[in-house]
Amino acid sequence: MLESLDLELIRLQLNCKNKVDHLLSGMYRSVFKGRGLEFDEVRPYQSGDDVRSIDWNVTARSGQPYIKRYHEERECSIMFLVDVSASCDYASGEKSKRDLMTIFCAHMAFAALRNNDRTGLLLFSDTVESYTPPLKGKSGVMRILQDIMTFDSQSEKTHLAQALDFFAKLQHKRSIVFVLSDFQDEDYWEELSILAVHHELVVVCINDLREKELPASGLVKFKDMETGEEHLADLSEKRARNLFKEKQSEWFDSLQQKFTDNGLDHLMISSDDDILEKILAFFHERERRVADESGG
Amino acid sequence: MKLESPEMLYLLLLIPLYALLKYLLKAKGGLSHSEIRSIKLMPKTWRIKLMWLPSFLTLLAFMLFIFVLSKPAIKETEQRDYQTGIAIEMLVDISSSMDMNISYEGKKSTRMEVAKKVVEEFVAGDDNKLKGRKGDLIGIITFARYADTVCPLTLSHEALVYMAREMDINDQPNEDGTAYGDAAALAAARLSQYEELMDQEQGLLLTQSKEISSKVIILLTDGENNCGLHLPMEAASMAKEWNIRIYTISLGDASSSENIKTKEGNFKVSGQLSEAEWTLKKMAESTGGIFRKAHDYDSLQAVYTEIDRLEKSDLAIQKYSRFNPYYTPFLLAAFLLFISAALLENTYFRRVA
Repeated sequence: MLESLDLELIRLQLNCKNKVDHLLSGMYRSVFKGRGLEFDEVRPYQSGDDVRSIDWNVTARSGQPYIKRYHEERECSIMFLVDVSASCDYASGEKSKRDLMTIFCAHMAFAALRNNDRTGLLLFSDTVESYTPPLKGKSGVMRILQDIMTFDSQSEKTHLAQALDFFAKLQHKRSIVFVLSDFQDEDYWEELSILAVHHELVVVCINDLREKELPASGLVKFKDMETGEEHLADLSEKRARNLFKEKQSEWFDSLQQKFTDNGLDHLMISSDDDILEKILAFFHERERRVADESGG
Repeated sequence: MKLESPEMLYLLLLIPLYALLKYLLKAKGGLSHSEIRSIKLMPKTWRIKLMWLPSFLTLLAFMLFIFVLSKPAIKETEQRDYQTGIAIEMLVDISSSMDMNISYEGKKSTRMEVAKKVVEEFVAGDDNKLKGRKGDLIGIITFARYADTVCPLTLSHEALVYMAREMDINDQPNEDGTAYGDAAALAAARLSQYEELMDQEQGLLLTQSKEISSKVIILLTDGENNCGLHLPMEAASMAKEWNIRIYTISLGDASSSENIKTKEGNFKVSGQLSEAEWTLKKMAESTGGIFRKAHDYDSLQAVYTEIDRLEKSDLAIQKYSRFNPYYTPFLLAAFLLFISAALLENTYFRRVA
C-alpha cells in the first residue's frame, strides 16, 4: 500500500512536472500576482538611486535625503479546500472525483512550488477533517497530495458552509484559495462570497461523466453514497434517461449560473476532461480578465 | 374441503419472517452513486411498478406449499340409490299348452310369446305402466315336466331379458307336463339360498351388500300341476317358511274359466275357479301373495302391473362421505408460481446492479 502510494505520488509528480515546468508555472505567476509592493525600509539616498523614490517627509525631518524602499510581495500562500465526503469517492471510470481533485491539486501545487509559494490544505466533509497550514517546499506539496489521495474521512456527508466559515476565520492573510468539491450541498453562497472578498477564490466543481448521463442498461438500484438512500431506476427506457440528463444538465447550468452571478472564478471539471487543458483555458481567461482589470 | 393437519398452517407464520429476511438481504447491493436526486425524478416504468411481482409469486407459492402440507382433503359424497332389494323369481310355464293362441294387440299370438313379452316388459319396463324392476334381483325359471333355471338371480337385467327372449316351448313330449310345484320349490330354494349366500358374503364383500328385503315368486302357468316331486302346496309351505310371497297367475281362455266341462255336459259357472286355479289361489293366499287370472296380453300385463305396484321397492338413499386427499392442483400451481417467479426474476425483472 505504502509502496504503491509512493509510486502513485512519484508518477503524479513526474506527470505534472513536465507540463507544469513548460506550460503552467509562467502563467501561474501572471495569473496569481502578489499583492504588489510592500514597504520594506527607509534608507539614506545614495547616488544612482531614483530621485522619485525619495521620501520627502523623512528627508525634511532628518535633513538628509532618504529614500523609501519597497519590495514586491511575490510570495503567496495557496490553499486547497478539498471535499472528501463520500460522494467524491464516486468513480464511473478509472478515476474517481477524488483522483481528479488530486491531479488538479498536483498541477497547481507544483506550479506554486516552482514559484516558491506556500501550499496548504483543508480537507472537509460535513466537518473540517484536517487542516495543514501553508508550507514551503517540496515536502509540503508531497504531504498535501498524499493527504488528498488517501485521507479517510470520518463523515460521509457534505457541509460546505462550515468548512468555508472555518477557513475564513483561520486565514486572514490574503491567499489563493481553491475550493474543490462536487457541490452536492446547499446554502454555501454567502460563505463563498465572503471568502471571495478576502482571498483570490477559485471554485472547482468536479463531476463525473455518469452524473450527466446514464448509459442504456436495465434495472439498476442506485444507492446514494452520502445518505445511503436507495432508488430503483429502469435505465432501459430512453425517456427516463433523457429526463435524467435534462435534470442534471439543468442542475449544472444553474450551479454555473450561480457561480457567475456571485462573481466567482470557477472551473467545471468532468471525468472525461483533460485537466491540464481545462486549467490552461481557465488561466488564459483569467489572465485576460486580470489584464483588463489592471487596465493594461 | 377439509384440512387434515391444519396445525401445519402455523408455518404460514414463517412467511412474514421470510419476507422480512428477503427484504433485509435485498438491502445489500446496488450501484453507489454520488447523488440520486435526479435519479429519483426518473419516471417509474411498468417494470419498476411491478418489481414486487416475483417476490409476491414466490410468497404465494410458499403459501400454497404450506397449504398442501396441511393435507387438504375434499369431501366426496357418494350417493347410492340404495334400494333395499327385492328378489324375484319368475316362473314361466313352457308346457305344450302354452302354444295356444290368445289375443295380442288385436292379433293372435301364442301364450308363450305373450308371456315372454310381458316378462320382458316387467323386467325392463315398457315406457308406460311398467317401470321396470331396476335394482331388483331377478331370476327366471321355466318349467314343463322339469323345472329349469334359465337365469339365476341377477342384477344384470340386459342379460336376463336376452335369456327371457330365448325361452321357448318344450317340444320334447317326454318332458312335457306342468310341474309348478317343483318349480315353486326350486324358486323358493334359490331365493333362500341366495339370501344365505348374501349373509355369508356380507362380512367379506361390502360392495355387494344388497339386503334382500323381500323375496317374491311370480308363477305363471296355464294348467294344473300334473307331475313333479313336490306338490304345489308343499312348495307354498316352504315359501311361507322362508318368508317368500308367491304371486300366481293363471293364463287361460277367457271363457274357460266360466265353462266347466263335466261328463254331464258344459256348465257355465261364471267366475268359478277350476281346481288348478284353486290350488294357485291357495298358494298365493297362504304366502301373502295374490292370485290373478289372465286370458290375453292386456289382462296379463295388467296383472304384472299390479304385482309391480304391490312390490314397490323402498328407495333408500344412502350417503357416503369420505375425505380424499386433494392437493394436485395446489401443488401444480405452487410449482408454476415458483417457476414463473424465478423466470421473471431472471429475465424481465433482472437487476443489472
